[in-house]
Amino acid sequence: MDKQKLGMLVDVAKCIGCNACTIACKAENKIPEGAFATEIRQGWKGKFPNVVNFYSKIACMHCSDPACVKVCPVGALYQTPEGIVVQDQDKCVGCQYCVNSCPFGIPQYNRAVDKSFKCTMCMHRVSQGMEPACVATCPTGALQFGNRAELRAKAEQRVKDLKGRFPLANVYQPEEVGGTGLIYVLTDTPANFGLVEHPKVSATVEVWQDYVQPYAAWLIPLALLGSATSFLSSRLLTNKNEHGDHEERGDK
Amino acid sequence: MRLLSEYREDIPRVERFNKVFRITHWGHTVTFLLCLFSGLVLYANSSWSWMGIILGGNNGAGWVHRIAAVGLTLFLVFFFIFDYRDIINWIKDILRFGKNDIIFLSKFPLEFMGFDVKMPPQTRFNGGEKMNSIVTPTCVFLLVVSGYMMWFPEYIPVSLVRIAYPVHDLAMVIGSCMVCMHAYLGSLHPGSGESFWGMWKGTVREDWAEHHHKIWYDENYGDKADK
Repeated sequence: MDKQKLGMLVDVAKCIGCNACTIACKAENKIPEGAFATEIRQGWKGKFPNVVNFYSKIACMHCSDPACVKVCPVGALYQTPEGIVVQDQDKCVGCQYCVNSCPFGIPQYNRAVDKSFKCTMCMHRVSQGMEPACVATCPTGALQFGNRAELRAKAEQRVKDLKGRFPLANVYQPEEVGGTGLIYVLTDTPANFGLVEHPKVSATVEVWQDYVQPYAAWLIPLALLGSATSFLSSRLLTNKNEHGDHEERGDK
Repeated sequence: MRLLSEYREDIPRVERFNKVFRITHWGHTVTFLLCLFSGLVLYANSSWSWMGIILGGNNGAGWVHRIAAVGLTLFLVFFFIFDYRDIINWIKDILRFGKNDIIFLSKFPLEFMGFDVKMPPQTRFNGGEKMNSIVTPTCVFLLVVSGYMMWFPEYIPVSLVRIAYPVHDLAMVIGSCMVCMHAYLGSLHPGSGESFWGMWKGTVREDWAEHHHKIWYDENYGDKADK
């Protein structure tokens, strides 16, 4: 893995579901009312009295091979050299293609301003040497920000330590989308935390964007060229038969 | 060099398209082209951005696209309300696709390049016009349906919305190709003759109608017409 890449570690064993990250994110990024760029999802497993509670911070996974960047028609979404997927709100035209193509269902659409938005890992803070707002505010240290490879090593060590208490503990960092910037330490299977176990970018998105869309529109100038050829050739041929007898011809 | 055939009132003329048909046709011409030019701003963002500047940036183009799209839909509704009978007749004529149309289509490339070709008698719409009548309205229908799906995705399952994007693009490409050919063949192609006046003024020269659409002429204005 690229040494330059940044990432975020979410340790659900330390998360108490306080939602401080959600609030910090909303305040920092001016997220509109009723919408979230990061939120805590809660789940339960088992029956009383043996109920297990799950909290997980859901936000953009920062895929290395992001579908949203691929489909964005105006280049509003792009990847920084650090592997973070950011968005230029000024460029967004609100077409919602990213909203509908993300395998994690992350980008949200804000009808009030006709734009979509998602977590940018607070790159405006990170570029000033600060941590993302959610990481800076997390009271339990469940969130860590830093070098992606180092965080991965930390996560693996942490899972090893947790195995005693949580036999199903695992590191969640799906490979399917080229690897992700978010690394989760989970105490149970991803499904229990509302996470997509095997994210898959829709085939219609991939085949269309990679192979058909860039070339298909050339058929239109081709049709125009055909018409222009016919325009010239038919007139040349008609002029040759000037004394012909096709009475309907326009140029008689 | 004459571009269009001369419009002559001194020669007997017969009606080819009624007013509703013509209003719908030209309404769709304007709204389709507006949708196409504004839509290409997103589809070919790198090479077509100059059109975005004319239409008020990406967002301006987006609004032109949506308003024109609603206009296009309203023209469809208008057509259905005021002249559903003509639509049925149109479909009936398409369903008459037969041997003569196949001969027409196979000989057409020669006619297209300007050779003088003898064609078998045609119904109201010849073989080529029948193909255009099938493909272009199908594309427009797909564009309208997939367009509204993408505009209001919150009411549609996400798997369908994902299909709507390529469907919209593909229908745009095929529809635009058909429109390019249709616009040329219906006006500047020497062989199209009176077709343009049929859609612009509503009438065509009687002798042209008999020569180019023999079956249609005979059934409606000739010996077989029930007067």
